Amino acid sequence: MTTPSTRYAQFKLVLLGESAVGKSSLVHRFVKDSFDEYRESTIGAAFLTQTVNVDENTTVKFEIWDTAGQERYKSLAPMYYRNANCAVVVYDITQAASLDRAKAWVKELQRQANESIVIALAGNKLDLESDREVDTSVAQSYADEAGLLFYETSAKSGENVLELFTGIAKKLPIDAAASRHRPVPKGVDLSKPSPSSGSGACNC
Amino acid sequence: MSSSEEDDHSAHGIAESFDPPFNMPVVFKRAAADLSARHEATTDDQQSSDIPDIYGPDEGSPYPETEIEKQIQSRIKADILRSKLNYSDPFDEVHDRYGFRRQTAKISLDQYNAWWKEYRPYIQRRERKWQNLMSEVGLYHKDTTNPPTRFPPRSSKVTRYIRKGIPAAWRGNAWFWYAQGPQYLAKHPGLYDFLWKRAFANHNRDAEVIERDLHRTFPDNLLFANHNQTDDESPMISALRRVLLAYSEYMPATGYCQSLNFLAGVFLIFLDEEKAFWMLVIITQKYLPGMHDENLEGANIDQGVLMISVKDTLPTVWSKIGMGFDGFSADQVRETTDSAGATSLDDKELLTHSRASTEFIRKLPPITLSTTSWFMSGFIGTLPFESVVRIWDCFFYEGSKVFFRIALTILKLCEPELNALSDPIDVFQTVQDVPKSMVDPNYLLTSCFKRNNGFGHISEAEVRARRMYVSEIRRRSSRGQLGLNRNGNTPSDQNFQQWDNKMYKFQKRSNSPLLHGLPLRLRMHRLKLAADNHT
Repeated sequence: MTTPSTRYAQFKLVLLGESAVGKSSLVHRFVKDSFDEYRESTIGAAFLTQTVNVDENTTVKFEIWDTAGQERYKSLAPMYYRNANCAVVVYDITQAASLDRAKAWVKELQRQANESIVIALAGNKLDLESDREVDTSVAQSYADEAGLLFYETSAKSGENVLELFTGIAKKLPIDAAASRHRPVPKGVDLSKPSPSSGSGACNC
Repeated sequence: MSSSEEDDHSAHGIAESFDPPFNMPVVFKRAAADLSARHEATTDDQQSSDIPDIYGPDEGSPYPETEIEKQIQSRIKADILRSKLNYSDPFDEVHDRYGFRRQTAKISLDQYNAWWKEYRPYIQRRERKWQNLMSEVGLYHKDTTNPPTRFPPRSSKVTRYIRKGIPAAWRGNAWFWYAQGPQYLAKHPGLYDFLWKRAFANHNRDAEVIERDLHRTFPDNLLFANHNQTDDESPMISALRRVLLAYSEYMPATGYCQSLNFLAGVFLIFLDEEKAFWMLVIITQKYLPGMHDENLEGANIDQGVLMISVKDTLPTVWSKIGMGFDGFSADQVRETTDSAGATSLDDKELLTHSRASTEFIRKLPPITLSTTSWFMSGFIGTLPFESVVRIWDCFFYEGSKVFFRIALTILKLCEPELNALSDPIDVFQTVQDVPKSMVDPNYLLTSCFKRNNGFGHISEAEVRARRMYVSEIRRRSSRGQLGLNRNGNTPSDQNFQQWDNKMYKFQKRSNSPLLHGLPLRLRMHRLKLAADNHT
């Protein structure tokens, strides 16, 4: 374990994207470091927390709202992103249509959410390279254009999952937020997700 | 559902003028005629707008017979699979009597086994009691092996028996009976088969979203899990596909909504797929109206009703869960308004007051992100499975008030833990996690139904009144007409009048003491006060 951090802040993170692109699986990998081939559909939203160390003396705790993907759950969306500091908008690299849906989410966030919200685009299911429908370059250039962080991830293999969340943490205004939150309980090793702080990823 | 509720499925009769599409098998002709009759039903039939026009010129296209044959085979396999459940003995060391894993994220195998050791003699005792009750009224004979399909009329004794749990092997039939399933089935013979076949033939518009959820419905349950030896999907998954496609076909305005997969999945554990289909129709139309609709407004309305009820009956819990993300509470807004001296019933002040005090209804507190799924999925995934089915026993017999009572009970049982918390984050976590660890359904249901528990005695009429109230506030809010208009005047009397007409109709039906004998404005005010716990 690392030495106790001197900087600590909590941020609200919301996961958005088409159904079955792997939102819950990404969070589950991040929080529990595990993966199930079939994960129960998320109804409404699930709440989880996870802590990461951004650097030697900086810890960020994410309060994560994992949401249902089906179009009609959109009516609950303002509640998800009301006061969210950051968002991960997920698409499935094997489903071109899911990128369109992700773009619509980004547009809505940029119009409706906090002005300072940090948005990351995540192309998930990198392990299914042979079924790829969305070229990395296409998504990358869209992300650049829209001012988003961009990662291609695999919840199954774990590739780039931690990088995604630490990438977001590094973009957040930690100093500005630090004062209004409680002191840090303990540090967490960045190289693997903390087993202790997460909970309740699945709906069962 | 009270027994006095108007019978909304009286026979419409088969339309004389109906001309079936060519080369349709007889059973389809009957079903199509049935659809046609529904199509031509009077405007007060709320489902009439959902009825598809199936008589377009392309309707004569032949069904893919090989595919249909495959589906019929898989239906037989699903029935065989279901028949392997005896609903009394656990499948094996790891799974329970319904095929679910005993161990969950919040309940260890030891905890489960300890509970089951106590619970098993209990259900055996209840089964004997039920057998005696049913024998007395001639609905059960010891020599017959088939579960009964008819159940005794409502009485306080039956209510008591149902609250203590219906025998699992009879459960499906009892739900179906008390939800008036036999009437639906008798009135629409063959319609289910017609619908799923039609969905296959015409490529249903929800087919893709349904497909995405099939393998994400109870992946841990033995009945639904893929067979390891082959690549074939479980026949229960195929059954689920047919039921959800048929539903989407029958209710195109509602279509498929995530969470229906779980509801249908539970029905399929206890009933054959045709009955499961009708239960899905009944639960979404009669018990949880509008909840799964395109905009989920029915779900939002019920959350508003729940929040009002929490505010009314569990003020300590409300002080914890009524918080917004930024720590603001709806109460604080109201108190500010009150201190400004809005005491008279002057229109402007009444509306100003109501705007502040109904803030939490228009803009639901974030806790509803968790509690919405309680209602949409009927507590599947929220509570352990045995609790879910015990709640459903009461729900199909007593009506949707049961879900509100259970939700209040869960929050009440969370109260000691919530009291120790101040950070909203911990509050969310507790409300989400505590119910998952509630291993004993008897404790939950006893807490829910015991006398003088100080909460939870919300009646079916109150649920209806509060749904209307919340719906109206949200409707006006969404049109930007709640409170004062641009000129500083009150909304037009027409709006009041429309609302009053609805309330009047309701009052006549329910004779609600909430509204009885009061003039219009006072009636509105009373409702708002009731919501604010000022009464």
